[in-house]
Amino acid sequence: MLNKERHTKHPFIFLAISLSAFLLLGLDQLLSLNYINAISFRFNFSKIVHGFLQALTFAGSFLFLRDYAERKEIFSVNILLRRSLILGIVTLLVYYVLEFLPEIYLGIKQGMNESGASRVVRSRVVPTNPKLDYILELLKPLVIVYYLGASIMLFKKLIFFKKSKWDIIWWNLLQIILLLSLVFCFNWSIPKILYLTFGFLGGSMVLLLSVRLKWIGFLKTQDKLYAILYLVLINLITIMLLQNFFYAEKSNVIITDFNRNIYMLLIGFSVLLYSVFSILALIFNLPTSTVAEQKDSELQSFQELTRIQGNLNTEQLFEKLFKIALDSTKVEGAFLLIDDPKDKYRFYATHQLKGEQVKALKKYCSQSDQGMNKQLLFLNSTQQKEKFTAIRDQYQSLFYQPILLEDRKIGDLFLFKSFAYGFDEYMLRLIKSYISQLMMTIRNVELLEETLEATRLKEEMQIARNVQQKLLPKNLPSNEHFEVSAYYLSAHEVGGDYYDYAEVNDLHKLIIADVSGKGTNAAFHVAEMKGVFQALMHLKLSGKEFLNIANQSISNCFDKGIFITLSYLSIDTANKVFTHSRAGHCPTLYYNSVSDEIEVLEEKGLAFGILRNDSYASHIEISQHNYNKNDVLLFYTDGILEARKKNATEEFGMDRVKKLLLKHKNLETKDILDKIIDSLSAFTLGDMSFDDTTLLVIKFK
Amino acid sequence: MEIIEDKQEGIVKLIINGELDASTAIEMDNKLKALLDQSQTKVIFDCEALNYISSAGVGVFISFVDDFKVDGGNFVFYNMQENVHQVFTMLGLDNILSIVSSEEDAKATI
Repeated sequence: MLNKERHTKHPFIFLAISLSAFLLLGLDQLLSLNYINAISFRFNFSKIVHGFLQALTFAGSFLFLRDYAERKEIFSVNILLRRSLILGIVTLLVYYVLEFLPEIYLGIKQGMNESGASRVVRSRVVPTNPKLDYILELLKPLVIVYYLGASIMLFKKLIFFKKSKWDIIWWNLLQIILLLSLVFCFNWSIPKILYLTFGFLGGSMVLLLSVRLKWIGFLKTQDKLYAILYLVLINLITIMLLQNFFYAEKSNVIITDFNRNIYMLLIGFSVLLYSVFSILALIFNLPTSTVAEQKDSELQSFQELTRIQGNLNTEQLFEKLFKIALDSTKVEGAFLLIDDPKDKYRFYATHQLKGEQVKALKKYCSQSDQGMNKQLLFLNSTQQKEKFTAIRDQYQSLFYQPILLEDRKIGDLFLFKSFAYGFDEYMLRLIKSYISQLMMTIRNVELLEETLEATRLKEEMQIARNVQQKLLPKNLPSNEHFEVSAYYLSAHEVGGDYYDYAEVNDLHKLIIADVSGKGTNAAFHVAEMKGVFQALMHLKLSGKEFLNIANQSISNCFDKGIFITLSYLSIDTANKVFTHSRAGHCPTLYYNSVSDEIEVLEEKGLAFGILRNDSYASHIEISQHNYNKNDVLLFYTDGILEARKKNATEEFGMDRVKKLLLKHKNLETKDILDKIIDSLSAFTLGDMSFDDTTLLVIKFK
Repeated sequence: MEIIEDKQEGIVKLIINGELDASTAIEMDNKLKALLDQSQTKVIFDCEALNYISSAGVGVFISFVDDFKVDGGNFVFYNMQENVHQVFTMLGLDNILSIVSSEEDAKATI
């Protein structure tokens, strides 16, 4: 119940109520004194109605100001206090205008009558216009009531800075007490004890709320000084306004007995007490505020580091590091040199050092073998300072910190002070942690860049993969004579396996090849190979001629030590004959349906790229075979033979391939492939990344 | 892989231990380069402990054999295990490189 704030959205209703009540009171007063003679009418308020109207004036003003203030969000303490002050000044002005208006009015009148000579004669003794005087006198307490109410509402925003549940409860209790205290307006003979109780309770609430000064901790030193100034002025203005009431005419139409008006006393007391408490707290806070600000700025520097992403401006970071080192230690000499051995980072800054001192320090940094290069040095005494002859005379304390990026030293930081024991643990810890944070940031950005680079490479490899896929024939023949199916899988994005097909003059030519090595290198060679084969396959060449010329053309493009193995097949469907040759490639498996056996086509043959001249021809053998319906040829690369489980030594081997072929010889070519691949992946437990793997199956019809 | 070098009477004996694949081929490459620089071109390889050879491993020998021959030297392999020998024959290298059965034969051949 009490820990919630309630507000209306229409505060002006309260204003209207308050002002109407006041108007009625004033009008009644004027009428009763017969100041308005024209109207022979009198309200003749009873005592109770009179009191009720008074209470309404107060309560209306309070609620109006409370809800009106709630509509404006002010976050800056300075603006808040400035508004309070302006409010006070304006009130004071209005108040004194009300006070002296009758005399000014009179003075002007007199001046007009007496042509300015005796304008000086102005005194309160002189009876002025009593009607005007009386109206103004009525207005004065209203101005004060509104001023105090508004001040409280502005201070409430300060009190509620980072508010807790209890703040709201105390505030609500104070509101209730203030509003209840308005019963005293009725001028009943209320026992003194009740009167005191109200005063005590209200005072306690005010005291409790007056110690809510959390906003002070968040002010900068300069703002605190301003705040003190504002508050002192507000305090003075409030006292000036209030004292008029304590010592002037005690009775008034709306404040019948000021000293017994708990409401006025309490709000006046609140404004004074809170401003006094604030002033005191501000003054006591001043000495520590610079420390707090320093910590704040240090914290901010750290936070900035964590925000850095990409586009690393390391120069700015090192500059910041230097500045932090200077600010946090207040040194008299400083030197920062970033000289990355990998040449990625470079920075240099000095502070109040002479030319020869800088030179000496630079020389010191370039000497790598100093024994203290990798650790912090903290010299508060004269030991070891012989190393720093150039600065020894001027400075008594030295702080040295190498700047390490991972394990690589990329720079040095020197700080000097002219007196001994000039550094303390806190400063050093701060600098150290800032450096390590900075290095971590730089490292993170480096890692990010590396990741981006890796991603880019991966994308490019994907492109390369697509290009390589296009090197392989899109459609393999399936005609009335035979049917071909292929399987291709590269261990990396791109691979060194290759197969191709061409039909020239009723001869169907097939090639399967494997470039030694894996990955990109091999893939480039595949591309070269494709060019040579495509050109040669369309010429009328015998198998031997084809291989001899192809070897020479290809070998000359390749580095020594890189070779290609390949098998070459040429099918003459008219005569139902195929010729087969092998250049160092895995033997082809030939299922002969007549004998129902598998023959291994293992002619003599040297791989490409070893001999680079005509002599190659003598190392090649060509075999010729008559084929029949349902004969099957299986070509493959060594990837399948050498496939194995991770961390196992047993290879898939040719015997397994043979058995599989024999078992599935009656299937379609595509299904034979599927069976072999299934069996292979079962054998390797799905790990197909050992080597490039290619299979070609040809079945005659 | 490990290569043990043994020089005697102008012949360099290299004992190859372990697997010669793409990753260890560099080691063999460096070794042969060094021998070529010293003009130690008569090399016999003891392959008894060579368990496995990949195409990259074969590639190293292929890339150097011509240079060694130019300098009047040669490569001779002996004590080769069956699986390694198969790799050489499949590639058709048994006619290009000298592969013999014993160290004596190797010394005699070279």
